[in-house]
Amino acid sequence: MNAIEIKDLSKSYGDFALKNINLTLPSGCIMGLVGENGAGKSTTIKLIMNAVRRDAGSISVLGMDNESAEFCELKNDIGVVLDEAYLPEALNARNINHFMKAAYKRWDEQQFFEYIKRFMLPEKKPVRDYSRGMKMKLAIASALSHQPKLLILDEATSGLDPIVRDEILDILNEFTRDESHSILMSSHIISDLEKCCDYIAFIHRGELIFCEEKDRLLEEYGTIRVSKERFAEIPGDAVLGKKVTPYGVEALVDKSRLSEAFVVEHTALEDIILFLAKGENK
Amino acid sequence: MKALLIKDMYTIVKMLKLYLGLIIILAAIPGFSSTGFAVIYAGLLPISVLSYDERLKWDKLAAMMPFSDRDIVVSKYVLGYILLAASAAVSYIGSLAAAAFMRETVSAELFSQLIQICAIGIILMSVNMPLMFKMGVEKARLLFIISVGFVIAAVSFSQRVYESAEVSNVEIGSISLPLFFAAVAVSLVSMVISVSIYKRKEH
Repeated sequence: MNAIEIKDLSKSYGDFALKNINLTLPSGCIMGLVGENGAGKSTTIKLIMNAVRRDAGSISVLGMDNESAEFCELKNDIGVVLDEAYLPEALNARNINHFMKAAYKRWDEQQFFEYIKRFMLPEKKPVRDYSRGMKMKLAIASALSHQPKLLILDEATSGLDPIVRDEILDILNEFTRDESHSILMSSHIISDLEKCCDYIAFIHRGELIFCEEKDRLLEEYGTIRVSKERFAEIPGDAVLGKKVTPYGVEALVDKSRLSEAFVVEHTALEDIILFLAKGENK
Repeated sequence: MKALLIKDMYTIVKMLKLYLGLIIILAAIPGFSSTGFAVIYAGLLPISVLSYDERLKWDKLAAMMPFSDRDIVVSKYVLGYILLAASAAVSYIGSLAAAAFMRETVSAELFSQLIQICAIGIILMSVNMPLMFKMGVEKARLLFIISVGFVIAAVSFSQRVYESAEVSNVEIGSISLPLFFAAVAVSLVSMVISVSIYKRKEH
């Protein structure tokens, strides 16, 4: 079963439109959602959770149409962390536990307090006195403590220091050891996504540019640095993006369409995204 | 809905304790005006909670949790009913205690007065809630002040009319239950409108 299946999804806001998104997250996998600010990542997540109404297309989450009446109940199986914690700030961690226990059917109090200890969060301090990092850790602890099958994180690790981010990535990897668990996470920190994701979906100006296995992307694409004259010898369909400098041309290429005469360097995920996002393509 | 009520109760106790204390003190003081103020203000506390939720953008997280739109809206009304009933109970106990202290008997019309005040509180809350959900607490604040002013004016006017027409306490008491049921009906209609407004919102 797929954790998330999106078909021909569209949503228009007048000045912005999400167009024809097709995306599948298989169970047991982690998918990274990448894109510039305003590309449509958060809108996609809100559409998945049925917090905004779609104009067209279909969305199935854990095998259920997200517009069905039972979807509200299914949210017990979905842990969500948004770009801000949005938790009631007058409450402290103990109060949050009391509230969440009543909200979720399978709330695991013990696990919640284990995360609270692991993240070194004060139990009696009101959330409003937490730093942003602490608030996000509390939100992550809450999302993980009701035995979800699917985790959705929208820029949840931005603003956290590298040590905490690394710890959270470890927790996410632990979470997907169970094959029925899946994660969809959007982030600007592509290095984090490169560390833990199986799939990468790249949204640019409301359109899905690609949704591929990460390893396949890194295997298929490479970077070349050549002179302008030498660049002219490269077949056009092999070039996915280029950057012309006074010293020559740097280009993202499809390795399979390029002759072995060219030296192709390994490329990082960040470079692939940058080449594809910037306008100076082909 | 229980979870939402727990959250709102914590918010009231921790963020609005000054108002809560004022309501309890006023409710405990025997007298129509202080009781009226306490009970009606208690019924309006859900609007203060709504304002707090709005400031924190709580609706964004609520939309991700297993709460239906109906639960989110109805919980605010239920919170209002609980607070109204609790402040009316404090008022009643306060009056009983005062009467016992003064070695007097409690006024016969106290119970019907409390029902009338609760009914006014329910109507006030019910008129304002759909506006709050539609426009947001900040934008609807002016309408809220106007509605409170209107209700106070209406209550004072009806009191004067009763006094000048020399209507007996028994006659005043007889309108309590019809007024209460009318308030419940207004509240149910208001709830339906608020749920439909909230359902149309995107979070």
